[in-house]
Amino acid sequence: MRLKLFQKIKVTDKLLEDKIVSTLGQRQVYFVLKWTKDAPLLLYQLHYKVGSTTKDGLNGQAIKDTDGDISILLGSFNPGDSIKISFGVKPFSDIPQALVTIPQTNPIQVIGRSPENDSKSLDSFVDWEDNLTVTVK
Amino acid sequence: MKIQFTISLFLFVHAVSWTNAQNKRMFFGSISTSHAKPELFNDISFGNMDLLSANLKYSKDQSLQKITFSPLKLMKKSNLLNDTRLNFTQKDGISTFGIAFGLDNTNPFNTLGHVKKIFNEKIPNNIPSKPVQGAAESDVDYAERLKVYAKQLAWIQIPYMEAMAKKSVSFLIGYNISLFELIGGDPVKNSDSLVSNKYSVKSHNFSADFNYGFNKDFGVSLGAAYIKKRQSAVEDQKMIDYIGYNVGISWRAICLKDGDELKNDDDYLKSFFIPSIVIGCSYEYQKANGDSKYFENGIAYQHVITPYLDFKISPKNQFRLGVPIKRYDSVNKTQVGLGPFIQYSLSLSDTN
Repeated sequence: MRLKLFQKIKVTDKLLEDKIVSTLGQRQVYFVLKWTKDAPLLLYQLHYKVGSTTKDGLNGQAIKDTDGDISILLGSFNPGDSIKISFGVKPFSDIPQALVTIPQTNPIQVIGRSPENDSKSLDSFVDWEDNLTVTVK
Repeated sequence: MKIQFTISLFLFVHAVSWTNAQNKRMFFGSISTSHAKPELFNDISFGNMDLLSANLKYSKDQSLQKITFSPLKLMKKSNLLNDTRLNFTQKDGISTFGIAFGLDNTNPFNTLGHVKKIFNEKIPNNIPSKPVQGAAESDVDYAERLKVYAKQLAWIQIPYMEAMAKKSVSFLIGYNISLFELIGGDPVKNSDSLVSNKYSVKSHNFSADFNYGFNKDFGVSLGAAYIKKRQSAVEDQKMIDYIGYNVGISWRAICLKDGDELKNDDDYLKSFFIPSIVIGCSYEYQKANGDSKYFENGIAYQHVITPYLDFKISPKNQFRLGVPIKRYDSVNKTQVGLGPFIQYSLSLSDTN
């Protein structure tokens, strides 16, 4: 079995250095949904658009959960990239608190939030859908 | 100049301002027991586990205005006291205030995983996510596809809601204090030279209630009460012990919407509200113990059977017609009476 990890590389290759520097310069961006623990909830939509391409952050399958915390890696982006995120949540009970944040690494910071202040109280079976546009820093 | 302090409870319900968002689900309240004590103990009842319910009742010999409320459900943190209930009632000039602690297994925050278990069992693991618009897909076609998706997404909650209505359990243990209309002021003597406003407390009421929903269409309730009550505020009146209990059943006999019509009904999908006519019956019993001289109206035993019809037209429009059949055994005679009543109920259901 040949693993890329063990492939021979020329350490002096200028292209490789450029790639490493470029990768180090990228920021990983996450979608984080937090809500009152034990409340049943379905995350059925997570679309994100960079440029003209819209992708499904859930890869075709909704996530049901009661843990109070879902984190999804959207991908690696460059500083200045603008990402338009649309999400949809169906609560299966009333939920006192729910909150979406969009954190990034390198440097670690939150670049998006919904609702903008505090948290949101969700009513049973009343879907919560929102859009937010973030700029990678 | 005589000074008297009076207590009066004004209950005001502004039904018109209620929004759909406030009409949340009523798993248990939708079928059973919200008014399992229609006659003898309706002043000390804590109702069902809804966030707020208001009741106005008028009959030929009784008027009642009542609000029961779960204020801790408004808090943003879940806790074991979520189902604590408060009662504010005015019945024939007597004001009653109470607090009850309870448990409701359709509340996800205070049970031993009942809601979580149903959620995991009834909601499939392979629900597709909301589709992304195809590159060659027109906006119109995509909107049509989303409409179908939204409907399918709404329907997955129906088996969950029906499962929640099965084996739903709630119980409450509570205390109420009832106050006479005059709660203070200068002593007033009556024609017997007795102080007529000697006491402000009419009764101390302890109660326990248990409700069980077999399914969305059938529920039962059981309750017991221990009451220390005096007949009037006159100075020679002593408190008498009363023991009581109540049993009630409710059955959804006629559904006004069914099948596809119900599956597409907004109230049903958002609150599990089923437009229907519910047939129910309750039995209440109360017995006085001690010196018969101090029994309220001289009554030793009371039996009340109340058959009723609940008309559930919409979450905002529900009312009850009932015919209580009463039997009083007083110290020296027995009476049987009939007292039709109409009761209008409004409920804002549970914020878990």
